[in-house]
Amino acid sequence: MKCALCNGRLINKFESIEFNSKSIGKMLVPELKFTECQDCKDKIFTPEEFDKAIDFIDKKEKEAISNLPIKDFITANEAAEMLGITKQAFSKNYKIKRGLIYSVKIGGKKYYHKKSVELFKEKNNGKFLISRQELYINYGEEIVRKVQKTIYTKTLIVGTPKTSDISIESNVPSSGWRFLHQTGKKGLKNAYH
Amino acid sequence: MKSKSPKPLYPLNSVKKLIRDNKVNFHWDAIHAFEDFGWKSDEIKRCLLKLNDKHHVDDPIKNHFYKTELHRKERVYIDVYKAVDIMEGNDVYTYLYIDQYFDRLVVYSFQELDKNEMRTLQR
Repeated sequence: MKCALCNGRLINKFESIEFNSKSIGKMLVPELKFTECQDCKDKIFTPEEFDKAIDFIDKKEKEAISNLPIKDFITANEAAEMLGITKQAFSKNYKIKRGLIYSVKIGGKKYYHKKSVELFKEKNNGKFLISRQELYINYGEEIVRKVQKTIYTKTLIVGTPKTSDISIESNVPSSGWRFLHQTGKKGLKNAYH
Repeated sequence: MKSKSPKPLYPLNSVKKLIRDNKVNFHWDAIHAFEDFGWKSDEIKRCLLKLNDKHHVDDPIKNHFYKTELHRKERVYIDVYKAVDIMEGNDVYTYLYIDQYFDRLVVYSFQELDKNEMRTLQR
């Protein structure tokens, strides 16, 4: 099998690929089947594998969005008002339906991230990088640094940061910080006891 | 006398037939479709089925085919399309070629048309 672009040899691969997400930055998309050219390194996917990668990215982005502080979310009415459109037009908008404004569902009702609505108004795309600082801005520089270190450790292991642990870790007593190098529940448990 | 408008190297009929037969592959760069539009492979294919082969320069709002260019490795030509308001109100910039060996369409790139260019077009 030869590459159409450079005539290099094509090989079938099954491995993780790095992706730079607009929402959560660099991440690893695991276990994808694809064809790679040994020379130009171009990667070609079937529609099924392509969608599998998108589903994974989508899931991770949604997890990150759900960890944003709830106070930053507004109702659909408020979001429509910010955009200067009716609520009907807002709910019918394809781009909003496709997730170009960050939203979360609470009790069957959708709430929209205010900053994302502002960006959508400006650029027609409300995606922005949900930085670590954004999530932990209230906890002081040193704490942020330690938490980031924990996330980084996790990133190496599972591919993407799991921010859900962090809101709990923010309540960890100061004596418990020494356990932060441990990841997951074990670290939390040791921090408390 | 007016010169003849350029046409895509890969006839759109053939491109659309491959899409209908599900003989489509995606280059990793095409994943921008998800970042820019929230689209997966089905939406990309639906969008490609809406393309026309009229020269974009003649009518940038209605016409989609922009140019054919040689890939940097100089072994394959790629058709470039710029489509304004083609699906769900989106403006698309895409690169396509047909892999003759495998008889498959390859979506090399699929992303949002540059905003600055859009403003120029709307003037």
